[in-house]
Amino acid sequence: MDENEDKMTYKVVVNHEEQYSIWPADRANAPGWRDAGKTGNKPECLEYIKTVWTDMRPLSLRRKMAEAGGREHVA
Amino acid sequence: MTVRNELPLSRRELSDSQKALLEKRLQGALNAAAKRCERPAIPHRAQGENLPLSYAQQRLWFLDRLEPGSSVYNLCQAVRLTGALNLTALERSLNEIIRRHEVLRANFIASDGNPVQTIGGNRTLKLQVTDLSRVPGGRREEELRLALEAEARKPFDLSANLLLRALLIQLEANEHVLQITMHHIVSDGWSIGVLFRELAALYDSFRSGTPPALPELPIQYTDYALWERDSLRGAALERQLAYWRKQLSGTLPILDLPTDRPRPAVQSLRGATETLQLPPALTQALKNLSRQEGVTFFMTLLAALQTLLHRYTRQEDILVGSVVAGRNQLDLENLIGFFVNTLVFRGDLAGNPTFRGLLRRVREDALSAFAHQDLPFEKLVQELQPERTLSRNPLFQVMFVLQNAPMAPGQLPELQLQPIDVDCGTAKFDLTLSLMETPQGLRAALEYNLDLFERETIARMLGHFQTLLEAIAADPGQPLSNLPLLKMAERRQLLLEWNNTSTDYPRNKTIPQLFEEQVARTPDAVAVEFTNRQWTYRELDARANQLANFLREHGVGPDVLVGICMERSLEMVVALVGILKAGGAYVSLDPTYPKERLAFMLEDTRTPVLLTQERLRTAMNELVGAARSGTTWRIPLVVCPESDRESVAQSTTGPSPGVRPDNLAYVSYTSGSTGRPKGVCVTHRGVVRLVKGTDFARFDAGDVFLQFAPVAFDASTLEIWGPLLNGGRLVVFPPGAPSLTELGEVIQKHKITTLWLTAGLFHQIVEEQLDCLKGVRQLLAGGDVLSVPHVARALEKLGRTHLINGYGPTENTTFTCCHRISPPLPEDRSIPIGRPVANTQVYVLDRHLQPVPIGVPGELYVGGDGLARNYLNRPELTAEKFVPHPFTNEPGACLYRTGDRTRWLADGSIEFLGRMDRQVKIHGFRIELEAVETVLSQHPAVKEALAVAQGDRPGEKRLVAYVVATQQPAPAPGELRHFLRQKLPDYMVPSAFVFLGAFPLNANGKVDRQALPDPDSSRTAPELDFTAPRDEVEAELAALWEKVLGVHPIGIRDNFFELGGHSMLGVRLFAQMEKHFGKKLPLASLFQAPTVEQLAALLREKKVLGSCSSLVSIQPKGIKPPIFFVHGAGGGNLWTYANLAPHLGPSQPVYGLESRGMRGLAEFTRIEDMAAHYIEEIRTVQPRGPYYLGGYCLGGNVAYEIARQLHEQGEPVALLALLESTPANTSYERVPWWRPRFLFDFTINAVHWLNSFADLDPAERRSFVRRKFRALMKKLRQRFSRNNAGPATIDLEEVIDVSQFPEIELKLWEAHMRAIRDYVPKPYPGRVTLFRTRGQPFLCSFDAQYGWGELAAGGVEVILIPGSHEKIFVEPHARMLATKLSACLNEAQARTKNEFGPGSL
Repeated sequence: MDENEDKMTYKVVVNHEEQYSIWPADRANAPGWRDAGKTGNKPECLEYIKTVWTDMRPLSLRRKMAEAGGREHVA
Repeated sequence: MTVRNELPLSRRELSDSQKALLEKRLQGALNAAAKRCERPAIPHRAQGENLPLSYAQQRLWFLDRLEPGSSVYNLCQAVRLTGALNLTALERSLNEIIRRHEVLRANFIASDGNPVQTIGGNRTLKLQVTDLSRVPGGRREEELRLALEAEARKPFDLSANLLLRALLIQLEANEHVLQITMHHIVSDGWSIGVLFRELAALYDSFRSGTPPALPELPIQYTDYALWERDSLRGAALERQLAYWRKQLSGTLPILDLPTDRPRPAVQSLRGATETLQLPPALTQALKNLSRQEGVTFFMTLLAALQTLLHRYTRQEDILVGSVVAGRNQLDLENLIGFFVNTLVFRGDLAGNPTFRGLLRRVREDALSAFAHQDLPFEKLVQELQPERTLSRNPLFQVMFVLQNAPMAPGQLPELQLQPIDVDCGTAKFDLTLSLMETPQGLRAALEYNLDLFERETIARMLGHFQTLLEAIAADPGQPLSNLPLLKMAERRQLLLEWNNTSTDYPRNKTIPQLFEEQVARTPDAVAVEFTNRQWTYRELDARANQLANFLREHGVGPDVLVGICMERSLEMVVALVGILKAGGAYVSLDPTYPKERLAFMLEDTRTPVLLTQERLRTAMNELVGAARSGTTWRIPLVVCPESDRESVAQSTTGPSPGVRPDNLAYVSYTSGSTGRPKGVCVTHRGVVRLVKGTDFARFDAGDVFLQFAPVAFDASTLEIWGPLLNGGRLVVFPPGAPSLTELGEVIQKHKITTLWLTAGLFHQIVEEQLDCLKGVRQLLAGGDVLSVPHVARALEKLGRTHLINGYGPTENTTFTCCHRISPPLPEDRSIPIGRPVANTQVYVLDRHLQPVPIGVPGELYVGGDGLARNYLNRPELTAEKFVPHPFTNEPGACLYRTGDRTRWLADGSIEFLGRMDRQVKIHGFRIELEAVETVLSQHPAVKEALAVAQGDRPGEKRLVAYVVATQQPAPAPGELRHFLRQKLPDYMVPSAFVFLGAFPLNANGKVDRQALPDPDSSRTAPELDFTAPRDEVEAELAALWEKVLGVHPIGIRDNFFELGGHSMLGVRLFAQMEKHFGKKLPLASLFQAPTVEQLAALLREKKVLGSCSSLVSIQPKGIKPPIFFVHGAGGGNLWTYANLAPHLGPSQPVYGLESRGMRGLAEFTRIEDMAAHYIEEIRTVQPRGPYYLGGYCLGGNVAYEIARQLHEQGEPVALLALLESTPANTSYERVPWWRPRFLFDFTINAVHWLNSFADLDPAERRSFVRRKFRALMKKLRQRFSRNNAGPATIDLEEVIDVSQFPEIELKLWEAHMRAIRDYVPKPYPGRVTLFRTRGQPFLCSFDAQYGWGELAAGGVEVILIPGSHEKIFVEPHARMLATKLSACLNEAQARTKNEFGPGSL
């Protein structure tokens, strides 16, 4: 079973929170996810994600924390 | 039905006139054949004494021997006849058909273990007529159905019955139903068509008085059987065999269909059928598709079935059986007989082809299978010798039949014919899909095995088949994985309805906010308690604020991780609250973890502050010190909040760090597959969703929670935040490993109301300390599979406690599913993990992320507000495990793939089946076995390492390591253990090490984990080769094997079937064994004991099946409540009951109780003790009443005592059947014998007695007379000297012929005679059913009830049975006894159902 899974082609997908994941390349994306521009076998896709996903906080949280941090700093 | 002796009717035994008739008939047939101008390809031959069977017949005969009295190979056809019926013409027509087709007069008998068939001369069929015309119209159809089913299910006796029956049921003056039932051994589906065609022609002639116009048949079935044997030799046979050998080479897959109930060790043939009419448009579309693709309709449907099975099992190599008519000679077309042959189709579904692609593969496979269809299936099985098991059909488990031409019952003049479906109540395979073309489109009938499947499951499966066919017709270009199975309603139910869990809860608030709100509400309530100290909410809040302010100063804020290395204490709780108030998240660094792991966690978390306690400070300083060298990150500050109070003591007003619900609350480490632990990042929202506005448990101010789990374990989330965010009280358990007693004391002293226990601890507490849980209102247990017996005990003893099975990965914040456990508990499955908790969604998906149907295993994916945010610093791992959510309206949502194998149950709860990979849970800890292996392999002396979780009982699982060492001698286990402890937590260190020279490999060259030896038996593993017989029994048995198998020499562990043994050889072997050892074993025992060693053990032990208790399972299968028979005076002779069992039917379980003395143990001296012991044994099979008991002779007294004791214990006894048994020490024999009534009875009884006496052979008669005379004399002597004191000696000679019994049994006879002499039965309020013969002139003349009336207050029912005391278990008497006993059992069961309700069994 694992062998089959490894043979599958995946694509890297990303959502509005800039969270990354992988998805079978031949399937339509789940709602709210878009292609990040990388296709390959599983290890290749995961390796790619390792390089692009550097801040793992959701984008909205990052923004809010930056705002709050900003305010704190100003205060 | 005629009852015949087992002795076969062979030609030798035919009377002269019968022989002459047979010769004449054979000659006539020959002449007729010779007269025909065309020479038949199959010659009509002169026949010898014993006519051979065809291969197909041979196999059916064997199957019949395996399960005698089964109706599974009955074929029947019922037809409604509307119009004026001429009964005489009908009966004459049927008899003419029987005359024409000699196979219909055949019987099948064993001759020295080989089957032969005999053709009866003139045999007349009597049309049975049942009149239902007087049954009220509303009930008539139901009565008809019952009558047809009963007839279809009536077994044939292959050795004696006419193997064709005809039943005519009258419904109205002009409406009848004709049912023809034949045994498959003389017919097949085609034959039914032949029969009805001939019936039409003959009926017309007989009705109108014109001579029958049907030409005589040129050949008969036995000609075919002989021809088949001749033609399948040499090159012709080899060609066929070669194809099939190649086609079925390699490991043959066993279809692993998900079943509703576990597959029994022995497959029963009970079945039922569900049907579904497919729309005509769909049928037409599939036909069009077949035409376009250049395949037959059969191929398209077969491919669709293979796809369905593939989707249900995920298997890619699928074997399906189907049939061909097997009448490839013109002359065979008009014969009735068993010609149909079974072919195996091997579907290759690998690589997720499109359906069109699959069709091409199926076409190739089917064409070549048809080209090699002449090899009889039975020959194929013999040749391939697939692994034999009684739990499955060999080679394939699913049968597919396409009936192209509807069965035309022909036309009868003045009658309208309408076929009727009859449910035969049997299933030959796991599943049989029959598709029939009707004018309304395809009609699907799915026959299924009732041991395995529920009706609803099969109905759904048919629905899935339809959905699949529709999708195939619409677009055959889709890959198999994309084809839908679920109906729309099902899909909605699985995806939406069962996941509709949203509740109103403060999803936008954080833990500190909710805690502070609680402090404001109940400032003076006790928040936390530790031994004798308590803090109120206000106090806890103040201390936590101080610490929080301190932490803020040291850089703690949102998403900053703070290490905590503290034992359970009040300070630990302050630290947790304080860290969250500072905006940070806590990470537990458990002081018991190895240094390497702690160091890794320090680096991974980059914690600026490490909170600890004074006693751990030195160790922490060392740890930090060691990390200092060569790091690039900031070294954490080690703080003891308790002893560093002065620096920590700051404002008690809380900081406001601006934390959001999706900021982190804690990071929890779990083991990772690379050996590197992974930190699960849990958010505030996850925790709040667990303890606020949820539904799996109640959280309120009155609740007292015990903080017991290590903070590193996510159960602590529930324990701590459950009370603190709801105003409850948190009791902190003292540090260190607790004893069960301590745990019990704390639970009681602090009046704990809500408690979480890991499965292992729960099991221990149930065993040792159950009472301490009595005050607990909610008991949550889980983390591993709960044991059903433990749960049952807890439910029984803890009446008011809600027992909840909690399930969930850390990645979804503690709980994902919960199941409130209530009776009835599943008997043969694990306790369900229940439904998703509030604000949580769960999906069972296949590997293509498609939802799987109810009952089909898939991986559990979970989503909702409890999802962790990510794995700390592991983007690639996060992306792999948290995947896009395809079934939601919330854009960008994720699902976590748990790696757990689960399935939906029909009630909407989920059953946990195991880990998808080899990740295991031991004592609640999740361990990836690869992680252990990786580290173990790092030891220089280890070449290869494997880790395996062993242990069947949940909670007793242990980790075992298999090691191939680089050197000899291998390293000591202690050394490896020490090595691992440096790098892994304790729970990841194996408890046993097994050293092997090399790992066993499977065909693919991979390590065969199944073949790894058990740690305890590993020493004996290498000597599996040849072992010579060790004693006489084994030696004699091996000699028999050599003779039967033609193999030399035979080792005692060689497998019969692997040595080329097949079913027919098995029959021969058992015939020889019976001759040689004088002992009859059921043929089925060869499957359970296929080696000389095991068979010898069976022979030696004189048991029906191997077992170490007094309880012997004679026939353990079946759904009815079991009956337990107690041994007779000899102690072990359960064969008597074994003779009875087959006649009681396959659904009646039968157990025997064998004397302890038979196993060389000391025999009980008192009947009372014997009974008490047997009650214990009985309870292992049936823990509660109502019980069904029986006993022969002395066993009757024991059974009586068992019933009496059970009654005293408040257990109902539904049936107490005493077979030819008289009570010990009662006074009934003192009836004055000179009374006329006695003399009258005596005379009648004496006649019966003389009759049965005459049945004995002369030697038996002589011995009998001698013994009886002496017994009589002794009785008289005793009567006239009643005051003769002192224990009488036991003289066995008077009772039995001692030369007939082995020594061990004689000893038991004596012991039992003594026990019975001293036994004084006490009255029993229940009822006794006495089965007695007429052959006991004295006994039954004294009292027709044998004296039981004096004892049984509930009355005695006397049932007369044929035979004499000694012969009731001998045929034909056994069958009569069984019939009467069966009626009593049914009646008692019906009565019981009314009295105790359906749930009582």
